[in-house]
Amino acid sequence: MSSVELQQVSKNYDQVVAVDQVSLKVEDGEFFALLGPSGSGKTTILRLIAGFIEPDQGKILIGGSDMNGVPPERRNIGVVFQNYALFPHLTAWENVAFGLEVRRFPKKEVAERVKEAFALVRLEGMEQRYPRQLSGGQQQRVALARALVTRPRVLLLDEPLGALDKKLRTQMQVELRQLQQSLGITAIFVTHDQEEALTLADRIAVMDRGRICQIGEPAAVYEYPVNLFVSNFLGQSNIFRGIVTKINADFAHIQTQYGYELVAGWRKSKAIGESALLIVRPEKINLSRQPSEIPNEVPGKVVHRIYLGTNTTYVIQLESGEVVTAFIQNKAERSGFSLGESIFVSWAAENCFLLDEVTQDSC
Amino acid sequence: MSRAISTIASLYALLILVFLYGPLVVMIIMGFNRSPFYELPFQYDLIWFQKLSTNERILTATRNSIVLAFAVSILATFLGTLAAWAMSRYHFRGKNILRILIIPPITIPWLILAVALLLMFYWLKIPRSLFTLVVGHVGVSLPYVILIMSTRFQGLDSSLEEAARSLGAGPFTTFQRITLPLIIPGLVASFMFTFAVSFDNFTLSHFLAPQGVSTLPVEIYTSIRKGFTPEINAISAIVFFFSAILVLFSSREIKFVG
Repeated sequence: MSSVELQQVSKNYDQVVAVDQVSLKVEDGEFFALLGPSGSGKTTILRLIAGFIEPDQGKILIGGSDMNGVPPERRNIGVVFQNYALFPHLTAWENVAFGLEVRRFPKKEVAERVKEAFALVRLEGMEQRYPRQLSGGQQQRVALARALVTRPRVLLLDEPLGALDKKLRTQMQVELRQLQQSLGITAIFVTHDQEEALTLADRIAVMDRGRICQIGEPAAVYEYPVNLFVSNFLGQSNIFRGIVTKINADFAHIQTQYGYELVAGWRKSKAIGESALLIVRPEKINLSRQPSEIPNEVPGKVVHRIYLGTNTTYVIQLESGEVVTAFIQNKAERSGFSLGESIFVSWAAENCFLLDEVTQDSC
Repeated sequence: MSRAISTIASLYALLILVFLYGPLVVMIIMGFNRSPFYELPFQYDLIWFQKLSTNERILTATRNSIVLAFAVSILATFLGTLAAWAMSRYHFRGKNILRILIIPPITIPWLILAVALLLMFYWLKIPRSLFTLVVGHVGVSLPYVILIMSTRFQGLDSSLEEAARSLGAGPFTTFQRITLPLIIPGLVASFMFTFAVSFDNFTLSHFLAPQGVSTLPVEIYTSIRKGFTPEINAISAIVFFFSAILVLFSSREIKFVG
């Protein structure tokens, strides 16, 4: 059993609250992402689980056992650090063997397991090199092999792909995921990169200033964020402010200050007369030269366009002065829109949602 | 134009070397000169080295210096390293004040430190002994060791130790297999520096040594006042020879990890 649970865990540094009464449970075999901006407490939580620091309040359980007073070396965990933390005075082989030697495994078994580990991360041939003789990607693999060779219950990763270039990072993401799934190991992963979290995780916990904003599967957190912070952090949001005018079973209608009448397909419990934010993501937006029957449609002008290969990003200014961003896939049948062109911005009601009006951008 | 400047620069460097090593070279050469009064012309003779081998005073003093320097180096390196370790890895009250207070003692002339120590031992009713000698030497060396090792520890990534812990190594094993190998250059530098400072130290030894115990610098000073022979040159040449080897060896060590 290798679930990880935090129960009302808090950690303070002098006057600063790094982790504020956080509770969460990572299931056995799950790939779990802690996602948030810097200072959100995600790395602190990882270090608390590892045992490098002790919580001021609350309990941490690994495999159901209370880890209070248990030092890192007895928690049976594997950690991959942001800077890899490879021992510079040892070869790659010695680095990976370290965890087994310290536990006094017989020499033969050490040799077997280390060989296996190098094969697992596809780094055969590099065993005798020193860390300084390896590239960033290779060091990363050694760090991974070293953490996995002891067959820990839980794998903790602190922004392990941050230092890699984009192509390598994408490749490593796939390998990491495959590795985790084939080993069936519980993995907790810290990142500030929302794309990475969406790619790798079974579930994501979005954090801000020591608190958890939302936990859920990637699609759930992306399509149904609970507040503006989550909505902004995962993907982009176009925001319309307005007052709720009508509610029925499936839809909520709002009217913006300028007078747009918009319909949202999902809503947080809202009452008529309450103020709300209507969020529609850029990829859900259609652009056309002619008006249509789609209920959410407003006219505007293209003020900026950015060609990105797979899609083109359009920035459109509406008559109300509000600015909307749209991602339009680059397909042959759709010709691009030019700067200054007048077009109609539309989206389906099911593709937008309502959130509470907030004064500040936090959980 | 720059050709002229580089020539001048080379000449200047040469001049500095001559200035530094001139007296040393003369001193060493005169140790091989037969005349007891340093008279020229130069006549090669090993007589003073022979006489040295029977000069009990100088030999005992040299032995004392070496043993003392060894003991002081080990103690100062050990204590200083522990202090630097604590200061770099833990937060405790007064840490910042301590960090600032380490530096001033280095600026105080040894003569003043020696008198101060003498007074302190007098008030504590501790007579001059090997103990006071060692305490004095260790005391003045500590700031240097702490400085050297603090820098070493700061450069040492704490995530390395955390990585070792996460892999199953307890604090002691971590220190032994990860921290220690990585701070060895600092330890070596501290040891050698302290050794050199202690071995050469005249002021502290003169003030704090007990009756009858002499170190080499003190012995040389006494000889100069009483009247001396080129045996002094001979022993100095030997000391210089060993120092040179030590420095050559240590500079290679330090460069390897740097």
